[in-house]
Amino acid sequence: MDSNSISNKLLDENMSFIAKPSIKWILKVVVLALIVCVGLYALFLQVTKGHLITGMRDNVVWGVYIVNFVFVLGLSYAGALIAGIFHLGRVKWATPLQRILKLITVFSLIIGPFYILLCLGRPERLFDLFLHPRIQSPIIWDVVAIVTDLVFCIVYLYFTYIKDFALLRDNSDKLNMPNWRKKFYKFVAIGYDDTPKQKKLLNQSLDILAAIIIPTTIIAYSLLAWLFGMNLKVGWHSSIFAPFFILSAVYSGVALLILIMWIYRRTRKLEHIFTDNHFKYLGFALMGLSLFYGYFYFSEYITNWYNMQKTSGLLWEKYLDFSEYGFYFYGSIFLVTLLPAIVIGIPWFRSVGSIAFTSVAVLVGLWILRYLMIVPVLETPYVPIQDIRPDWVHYSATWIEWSLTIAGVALFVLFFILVAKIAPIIPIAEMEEDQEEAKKIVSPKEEV
Amino acid sequence: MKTINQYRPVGRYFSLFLITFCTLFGVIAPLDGQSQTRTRLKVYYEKLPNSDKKISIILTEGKGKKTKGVGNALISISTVALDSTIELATITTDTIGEAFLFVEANYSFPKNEDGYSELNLNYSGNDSLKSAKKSIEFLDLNLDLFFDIVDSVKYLEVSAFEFDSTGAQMPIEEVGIKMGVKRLYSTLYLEEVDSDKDGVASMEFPNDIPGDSVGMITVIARVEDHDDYGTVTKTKTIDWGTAVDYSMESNGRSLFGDSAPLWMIISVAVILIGAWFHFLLAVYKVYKMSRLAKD
Repeated sequence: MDSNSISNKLLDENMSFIAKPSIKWILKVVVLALIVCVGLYALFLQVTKGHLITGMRDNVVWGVYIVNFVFVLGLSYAGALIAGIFHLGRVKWATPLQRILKLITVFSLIIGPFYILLCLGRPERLFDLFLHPRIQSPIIWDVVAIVTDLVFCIVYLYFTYIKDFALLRDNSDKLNMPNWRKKFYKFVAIGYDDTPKQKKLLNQSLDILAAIIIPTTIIAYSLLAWLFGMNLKVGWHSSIFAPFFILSAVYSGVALLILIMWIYRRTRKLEHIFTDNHFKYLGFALMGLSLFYGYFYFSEYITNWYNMQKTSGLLWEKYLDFSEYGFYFYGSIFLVTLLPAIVIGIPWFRSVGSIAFTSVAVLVGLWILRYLMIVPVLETPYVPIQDIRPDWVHYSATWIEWSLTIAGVALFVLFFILVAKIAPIIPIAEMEEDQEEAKKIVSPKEEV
Repeated sequence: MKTINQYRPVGRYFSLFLITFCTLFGVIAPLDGQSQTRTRLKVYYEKLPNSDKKISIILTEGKGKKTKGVGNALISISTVALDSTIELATITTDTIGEAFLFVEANYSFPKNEDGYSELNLNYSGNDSLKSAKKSIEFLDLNLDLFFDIVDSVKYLEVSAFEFDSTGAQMPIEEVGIKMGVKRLYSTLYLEEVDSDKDGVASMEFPNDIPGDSVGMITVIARVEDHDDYGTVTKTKTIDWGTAVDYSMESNGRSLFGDSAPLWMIISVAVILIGAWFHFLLAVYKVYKMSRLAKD
């Protein structure tokens, strides 16, 4: 590769990941690892003492774990879906975001399924699912979809790294890399030399993967939605659940992307990579999605309200009553449907910081809405709950569940920090290709 | 969008709020735990269908949302006969602070001059938990079920009564009695009727309640959480249900059968084969690419 190329300039600007770990970096890793260890201890307690030490009981059999499962898988599918669409649509301004999106996808797909395993009262029976599968069962659909998606996304992520690995391999002497890094990059670059034929083959492969990942993620998250929607429970039995899930996923994915961009921009001084325009475009996307989300939510409410059944009425009473879930319901609806429209829609409020802040609010709001989608519904069965302790009728998560939730977030951040130490967080080679293509387009005009 | 490059410190204010909140919470919460925590005993008296008595005890600590059960705590239970105290039992709460005492039907609790039986419960506390006491008084209510058919109409009658000191039945009026039938997971209540001056509550029984294969159903009469009587339940089984054939028919290929419908197998196969074929094609292209390496 040309040593004076754009990629070398970008590499020089973003080579901090090669430097020896700083004290601050080590401290971050240790703190995050400790949080994960607390989660592992909570897991140990849960496995040895059973679900009794969680808030889950006979009626509310799902709690924070399943909320995390749905939320985290949504982030993952959103990452893959948005990355695939950007790739196939050849959206040049989005090239710097591609790697973050794919990393979100893979890390979420690794962490998310653990939460559903935590819901199992008899985890040792998990293998029965594989030994005696029933193709008619939505659980099997979900398992197959998640495994397929995980394999596809890990391979897709790796293939997008190949060009950068080759770049690092070719610049290893210039960057004074230790031997293990040189060997590692040589191994993982699998002989890529940027020849036209190799480039063509790799790009074809990436196109194919992007094309199959889009429908795969849509099907996979729809399957998860149908797992709820095919249940007759009020609050779940809805035909718009699948598109609603996809919309929520994309919405939360965009919010997380903005947040991660903002963190890297602030901490690594990447203002020239994650530019104001990126925040502007994604901010408007966030606002558009918030309006769509409000439309879907209202549509779901109005159709329920118009022909309200008794149990459905009880559920909505819980949502709207401030002594039950009213505070969370109105609060999250405000965060998810109104706040983005206000902060991003009104120019006076709009800034990089406010867009990032709105993203955090949207993520919190979407998590709470998923909680409201699961817990109050389980507390409102068709047959009234009888002969049970009153404090078991209502679900309240214990520290075990919260610590495992926080451990999941810590693990996600830890993955990002560790992977960012192996290769740059922005796709340098792809950005170079984009800029070279742009030059080719501009050049004829210049000649004229 | 001229303001986009100006960083507004909204996030800083939010972080400041979070830090202040966490700090205050971190300081106040440990202070709160320095003294003994208040405990509370809850007791429920229940008379079971076989006339055994069940005393349910819950010992909790803390208040509001921080309330939790106290496990492995000793609770002593006593009753009063005339002026003397009779120790009935000392039981230990389970991990969630619950304990149950079952008293056989043939044991009668001593009664005071008003006919009330008294139970006193005591938890003596420890270094971190305060002691707690609870007393309840209850009357011994009995229920009996009768079935009657008048002009092809079925009537369920429930008689509520107490025994006086001579062993004679005394009807109890104005007691709300819930009547229903036992279902697989819960009770299907049909009606709640107050007992009349003869202590009888009756209702017309529906003809369309599904029973077992020969139409047997278990009918339940229940006085629930009454101030004087606690919870009293009586059940009887009768062939007033409709007979239902529960034998499973084989549906061939179906969602709930042993074999999946063909359309489902074909759809899943097409989707999976299509996706994995293209995935392998992409992997093959990268493999081919790696074979073109210069060295």
